[in-house]
Amino acid sequence: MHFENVETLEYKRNRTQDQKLYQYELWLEKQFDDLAQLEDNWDEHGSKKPTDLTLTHAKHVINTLLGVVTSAGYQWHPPFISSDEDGDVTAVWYDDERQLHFQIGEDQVEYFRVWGTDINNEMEVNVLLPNSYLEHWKWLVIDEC
Amino acid sequence: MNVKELVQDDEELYRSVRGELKYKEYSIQNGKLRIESAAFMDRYRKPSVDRAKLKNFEPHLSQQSPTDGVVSLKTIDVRTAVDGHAVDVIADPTSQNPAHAKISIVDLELLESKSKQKKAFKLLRIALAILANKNGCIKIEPKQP
Repeated sequence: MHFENVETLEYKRNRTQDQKLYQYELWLEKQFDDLAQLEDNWDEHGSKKPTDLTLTHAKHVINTLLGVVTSAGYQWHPPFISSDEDGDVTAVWYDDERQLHFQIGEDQVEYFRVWGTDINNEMEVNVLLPNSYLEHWKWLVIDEC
Repeated sequence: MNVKELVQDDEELYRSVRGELKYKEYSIQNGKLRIESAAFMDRYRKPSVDRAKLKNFEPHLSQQSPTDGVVSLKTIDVRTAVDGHAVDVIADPTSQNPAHAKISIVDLELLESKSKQKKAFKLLRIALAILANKNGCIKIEPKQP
């Protein structure tokens, strides 16, 4: 019977995580490359294209969340990324019935917590504070760690 | 004649969802189709729908192209999504499409800032997407051409 030592297992685990992270980084680059290609009226409904500043800000926000989440030992889920009517970037994470949206403009981020269709009682919107990233992720995944 | 008949609470509504993935109106996550809030984007913040009964309950008649999907919503669910801001479904027949109607936040223009209007509409879009993802609401799945 063959037993792998703890160091080997740890090495394999880290290598797998590194590979996953690398794949994610490639995927994220592709998402932002696609957004950077958009022109005004890209959706044929009159939507504006995101500015370079918005794209840079959005990438920074998403990567900050990634860093905070993985450093705290939580599993990372890639977001669904799109752009809206005004050229803001939206990143959305889903976990069962819960949704966490970040709406990212050139100099501001708003979060939307959603757990139902009742806008007054099952959704919450506010400005995203720099020290609140982990709190939002914990809310999304509840007890997953 | 262009009489604006009242849309009844029990009426079914169809909304087309574009098949081309670049529009980000839907996603496929873990093999599961999800309608995204972008499926309800509209530059005037009044997404168009068709009244199903005036389309003979044939969802394909609401497709803009053969690869589009069609989702179904109940008028009562749309009207009750927002407690504070009245949401209505208003008949808006045109010569090309007598079934045409619009989903509208009635007091949207009364909100003092563009930012608040945008926020209210985004919440509505999120609520509509949740409704569209409920069992049996996706009448025709969108397909990437």
